[in-house]
Amino acid sequence: MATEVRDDGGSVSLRALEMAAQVRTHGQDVTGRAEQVTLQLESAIGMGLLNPGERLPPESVMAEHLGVSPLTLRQSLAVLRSKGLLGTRRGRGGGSYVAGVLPVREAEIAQQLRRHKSDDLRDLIDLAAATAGSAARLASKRSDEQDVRRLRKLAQRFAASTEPHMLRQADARLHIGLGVAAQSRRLTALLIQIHAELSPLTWGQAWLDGQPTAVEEHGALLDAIEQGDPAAAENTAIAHFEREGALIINQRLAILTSDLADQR
Amino acid sequence: MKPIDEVLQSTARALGQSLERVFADLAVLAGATTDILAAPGTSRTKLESLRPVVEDIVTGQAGLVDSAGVSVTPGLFADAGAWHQWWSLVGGKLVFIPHNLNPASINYYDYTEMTWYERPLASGQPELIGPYIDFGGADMKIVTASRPVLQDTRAVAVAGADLSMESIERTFLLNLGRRDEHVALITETGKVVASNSARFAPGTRFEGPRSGPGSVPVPVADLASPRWHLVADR
Repeated sequence: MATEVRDDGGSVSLRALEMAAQVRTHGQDVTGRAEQVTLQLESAIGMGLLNPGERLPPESVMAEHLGVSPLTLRQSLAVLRSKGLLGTRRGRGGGSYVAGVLPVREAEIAQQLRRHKSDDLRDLIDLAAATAGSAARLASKRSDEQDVRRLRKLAQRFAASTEPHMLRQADARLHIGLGVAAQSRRLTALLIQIHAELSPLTWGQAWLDGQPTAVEEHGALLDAIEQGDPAAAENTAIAHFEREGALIINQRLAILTSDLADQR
Repeated sequence: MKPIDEVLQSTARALGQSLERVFADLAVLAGATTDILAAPGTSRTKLESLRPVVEDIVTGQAGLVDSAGVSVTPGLFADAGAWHQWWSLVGGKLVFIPHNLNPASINYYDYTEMTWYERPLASGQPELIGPYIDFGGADMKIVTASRPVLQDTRAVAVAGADLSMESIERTFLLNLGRRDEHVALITETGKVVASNSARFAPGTRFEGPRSGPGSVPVPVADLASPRWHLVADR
């Protein structure tokens, strides 16, 4: 699945690694630390915290930042390499680099939706809406021209995306960017955790027609932030997450209904 | 396609039957508790012999009942003020769930003030409570079915079972079998238990008429409170 990527995209920052380490994995079928780190790095690649071409830090540094032993880390990296998400360059200055993107697979979305409980999904979406709403409100009071320009760029990247995996990544980045524009490390970290769980459920087939609506909603949200209108920013962000959340829940209910129809 | 009213009726019947089976099991648990309490001794450890009864219920209910047990009125035992003898299925095994029954603790699980405990003692009949977040207990959103345990004619304890929202949702979706109408299963207070549409989120209040045309009661015998309903929004 990995497209040919050379390791000339600069280095993965330690900050990005720390963000990856904040990805929560419980609720998923994770048995050991190695599997957990694999999932965290995979989520980070899926959300675009780690990008194709970027070089990973030395294994000893990574292990320390992810809080695992070098041996455990090597196990995770081997799995990611076998999935084509990482590549290796030998010799002096060698090491691992991000080699692939995480594709959007319909079957994987369905599998994940089957695993979640309706109520847990609802809870996650409520948290996402509440967090994004608060971040948007604070962003409208705190962001300067530069912050707004950054958000606009992220929104444009989303609007210009043509592939599902690009949409998924650009969407997550813009949403996480709200935390940055709110000048809040904690809200940013929370938005990362939320999207690590939420993003794998998004931008499947059922979502693609909704790109123009999402573009419109992002536009209205950024307008409210730029105009310094906290109430409008908060409400627009919440409405955006509610609409996308309903897509997720309805898709789960449709899958469940059709699964159960086979058992009737 | 069958008319929606027919489908609502058959779904309500299926839900009612599965709930009645839980209450029948709770009658067995309550009866076993009555027998144990009649035997000599005033120690709470007497209740430990309920384990096989609870094991039968939890395994027999295959996924619907997460945990079950008995909670006594304070003062019943010489060696405990209050006592909550519950077991839960964890990783396929039945385990005793210790609760913090120390009133001084921040994690104090004061079951004596919880609805599933108070209501059957007051009504003397089976009760269906929730969905609610059982904070300090199951720490999940659950529904609890409970009924009083009698000693002579006095209610001295409550036998209860925590029901999985996921399992109720499965029974609901399996029998409904379609998503052409928005249908919600709602409690007597209008809380959504399950739905086939994102429009009605479990745990939230159902906005709209709870009875009238398009509303079908879920038949459960002997329940003290008004029944749950299926409501279709066409």
